[in-house]
Amino acid sequence: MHYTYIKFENQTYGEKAVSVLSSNGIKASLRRNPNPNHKQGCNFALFVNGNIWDAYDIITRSHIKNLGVESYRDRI
Amino acid sequence: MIYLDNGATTFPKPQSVLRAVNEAMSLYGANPGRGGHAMTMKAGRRVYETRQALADMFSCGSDRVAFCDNCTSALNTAIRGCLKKGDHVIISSLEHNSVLRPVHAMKKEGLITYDVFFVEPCSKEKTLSNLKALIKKNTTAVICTAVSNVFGTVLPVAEIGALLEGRGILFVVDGAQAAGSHRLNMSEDKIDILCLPGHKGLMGPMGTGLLLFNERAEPLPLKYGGTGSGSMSPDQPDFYPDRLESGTVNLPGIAGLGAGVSFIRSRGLEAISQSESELISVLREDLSVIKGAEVYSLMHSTPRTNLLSFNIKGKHSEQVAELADKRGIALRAGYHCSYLAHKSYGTEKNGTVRVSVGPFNTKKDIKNLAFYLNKIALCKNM
Repeated sequence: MHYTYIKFENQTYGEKAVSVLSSNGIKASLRRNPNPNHKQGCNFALFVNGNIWDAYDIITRSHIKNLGVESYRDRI
Repeated sequence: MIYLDNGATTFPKPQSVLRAVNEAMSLYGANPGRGGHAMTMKAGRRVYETRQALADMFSCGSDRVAFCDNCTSALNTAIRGCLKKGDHVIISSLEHNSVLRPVHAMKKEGLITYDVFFVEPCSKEKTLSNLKALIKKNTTAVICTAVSNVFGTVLPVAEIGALLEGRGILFVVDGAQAAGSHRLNMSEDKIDILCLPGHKGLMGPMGTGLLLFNERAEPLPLKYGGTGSGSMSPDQPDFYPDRLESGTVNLPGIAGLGAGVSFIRSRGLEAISQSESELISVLREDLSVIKGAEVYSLMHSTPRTNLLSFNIKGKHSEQVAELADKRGIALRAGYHCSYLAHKSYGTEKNGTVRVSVGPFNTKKDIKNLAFYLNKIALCKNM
């Protein structure tokens, strides 16, 4: 399975993004990043129900600090 | 028990606060922001919701709300975390020891210098002019309380903010006695750093404090450690609030604080403020007819406050509070951890008896207090 998500350094930024997206009518769910970069350590992943680039645009315009969009393939 | 020591901590707490603490402990008491399972995520969400509610209430960004142990801890971070060697700081003559002591300690360490501006009891203009006269080229911060914890004096925070704007001086406000009963707006009042306790007017549990700051302030942490973020780096995160929140945060306390903020919103800050200041006005009137009662009214033009200090002639403040306690009335006496205030306004001999009301006090509480204070004042052998 292929996943794309927006990455955040902490839950605070992620929850803020959920809230901003919700007020723009976009549903999203925040989870612990299942595929963390070993150099960065723990962080959070926002999975968007809809177009991720629209969501990313809203988040960026709202000045919510994030680590960009990332993808990974589930090997299970 | 008639509890009139809300300036120390509010009591009782709203039922919703007790419920929120209980739920956090019993239903989702996992470590917030530290894992990925449902309980930790829910705990983290609760912390975020409280953070956001506080950001909305005081007008700052939610990532610039850092949870601390108490207001003293927040003030220490603001002071130690922002000042550097060679800085000059100005504090008011009504500061609590939680401002005076860290500033004084930094002076003794040879790091900074400081001056004290005198808050004129009846003139905002003179107060502002006293402050302005002390500003130097190397002044980097003005630190002052919003409301005196001894006399209830309301400082002209908005005017001080306006005076400092554009001068490159950080404006740090100790909102310990103001939050929850006085309007504090960081954006409108040009406050750079606001330090608050969660357990006083905000109605949360003890063990909660807040450091709120805007983009002009970049406080360094006093504590380093695990934040649940950037874990594979030996460096402390450089982003907020993680930078200032090492170690597990007080989830039950923060959940309770969130419920406290909701309580204030539902009652209305203005309604709470009005009700509390009316009770103090009633007490002020009652004290005016008690023989030997001396009220310390160090007010600017609008005396709207939730606390009042007084003494009864011939009796030490501690004696009066002890007698009141025997009648089931909780008052605070002594020096209220405010060396500067007593030294500056001549109450260092006996301290003062402080009455501080909260949202659950009634006129009947005040009338009962006045009745017993009258007895105490009349009785020579008490």
